[in-house]
Amino acid sequence: MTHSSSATPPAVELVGVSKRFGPVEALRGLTLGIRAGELTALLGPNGAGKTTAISLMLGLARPTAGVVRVLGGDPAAGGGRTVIGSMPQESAIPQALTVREAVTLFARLYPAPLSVDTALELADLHSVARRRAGALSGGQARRLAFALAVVGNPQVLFLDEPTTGMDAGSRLAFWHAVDGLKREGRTILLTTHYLEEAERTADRVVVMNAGTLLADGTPASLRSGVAAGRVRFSSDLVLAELQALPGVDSAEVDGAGRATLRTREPEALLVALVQAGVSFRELEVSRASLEDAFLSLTAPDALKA
Amino acid sequence: MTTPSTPAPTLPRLAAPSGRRAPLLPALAQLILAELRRMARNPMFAVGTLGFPILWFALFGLPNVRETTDSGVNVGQYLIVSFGTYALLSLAMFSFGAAVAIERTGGWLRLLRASPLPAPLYFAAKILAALLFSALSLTLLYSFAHFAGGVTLPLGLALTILAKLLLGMVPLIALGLCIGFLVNPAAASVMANVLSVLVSFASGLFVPLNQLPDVVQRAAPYLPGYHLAQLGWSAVAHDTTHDLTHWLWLAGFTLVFGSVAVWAMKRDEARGQ
Repeated sequence: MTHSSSATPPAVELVGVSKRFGPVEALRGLTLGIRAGELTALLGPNGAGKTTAISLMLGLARPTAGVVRVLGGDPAAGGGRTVIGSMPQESAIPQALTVREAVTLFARLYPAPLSVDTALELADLHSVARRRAGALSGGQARRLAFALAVVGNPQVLFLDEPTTGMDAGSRLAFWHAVDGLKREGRTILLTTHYLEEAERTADRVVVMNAGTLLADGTPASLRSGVAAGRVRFSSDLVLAELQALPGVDSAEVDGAGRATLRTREPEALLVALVQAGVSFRELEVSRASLEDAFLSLTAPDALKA
Repeated sequence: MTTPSTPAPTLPRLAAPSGRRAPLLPALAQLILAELRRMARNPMFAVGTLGFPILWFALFGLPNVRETTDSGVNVGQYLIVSFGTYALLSLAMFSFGAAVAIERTGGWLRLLRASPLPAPLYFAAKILAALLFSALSLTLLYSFAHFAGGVTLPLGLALTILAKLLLGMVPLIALGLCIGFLVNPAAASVMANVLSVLVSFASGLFVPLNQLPDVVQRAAPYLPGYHLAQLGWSAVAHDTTHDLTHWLWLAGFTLVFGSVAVWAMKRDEARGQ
């Protein structure tokens, strides 16, 4: 692994990491650096090894092979835990504690915590601060887990499927808080199933499957790597003429004469259409979404473009 | 819920990571408080460990409290030890068996492991809270026996019994931890129920041992509840000649159950999930 020469070393670093649970190889030689101050989204289908990777970064498990470093130290040694916050997928908070009591308890575990009120405000929990954890809705319980993750004023935040079970309003408030943390220079690693969220908020997207890295880049660069820009219109052109248009990767035309073209450069294609004087109707242009990129990357017979 | 209209609250500046840890005592105090809240707010738990011993004492003890056994021991004092031991046994089974099983499988324990909380502090808080709750349970039982049945323990004797029972409770806590780390929550709850009743019965807490079947009488000395009760009864009878034997048995149980509990906890940790 080449050492970064920039002033800030990666906040989290995995070098050639493998993790085996009995016969199951959850991670296979994963190498990954999470840059400080960035929001990185870790994507992958179920069983890709995302949660295992986070377990290793939290020091809850040791790699079978390879090295895991968080803020320059071994997370399993426990030293860095005072500046790390984590929001696991499951965290049954003792049901008898109220929201405020649970957050207060966690604040006492850290040397320089946020005030309990600040954490409650970040997680938008003030209105239910006196409610018992056992009486919270699914989305409120997720926000309580978020409050516990941030109350220690962490430098690095691990959020595992943070918005699962949140309603639209909770989700909005949650991303608002995450944006605030990002602006304050916190390093955030999150896993999510909601690709449009990753697309909107992440500085960087890492796609995993079957324990290995499939892709690593900005949302825009991942999208552009997929020939899934789509142009649809109705015209008198036949299939051969459509295929001959500049930049067309594939073309189809249905019985009604409606054409569907895939291209990396829809703009160039439209210019060519107009310049050729072709008359067309019902034009529709759509960009490849991160979801298209994700699906093509993780498809069992991934298209090697 | 509406769109957040206010800007996110400003956060304090980030401190550089240092070796600094949170002060231990406030953390310990919060953990103990959380445990006491958990116990006091769970009706099943509170009724089982505070209410039942008093109920059994009222049903089976009150009619006989003024009698004296053949060996000249006041029955009321004897029964305070019996039902007090039962209270501690069921408290240890539920607080360390059923509750730990839930905290382990639900993800709470995993969340604590990822926090800066040193693991020994978690257990210290659980044990201290259990001892506080046990002391409360024994105090309530004695108060009931005193005011409803006229049973009186001299202060010195009361404190001796309290100290002996709480110290002797350690192997029961270790047994509870074994259950909590080895079985799933549903099974742990059933085991806690069955064990606290069966061990109490077979240790002679509900019916004096000499009235129990021969096979139970012979099995009793292999149960931790038996030795714990014997230590309390010996204080009431002012005959402590066999105390050392009972302490040694309890120390042995602590070693065995403690080793299994530590092994089971490490196994759970190694799963790393």
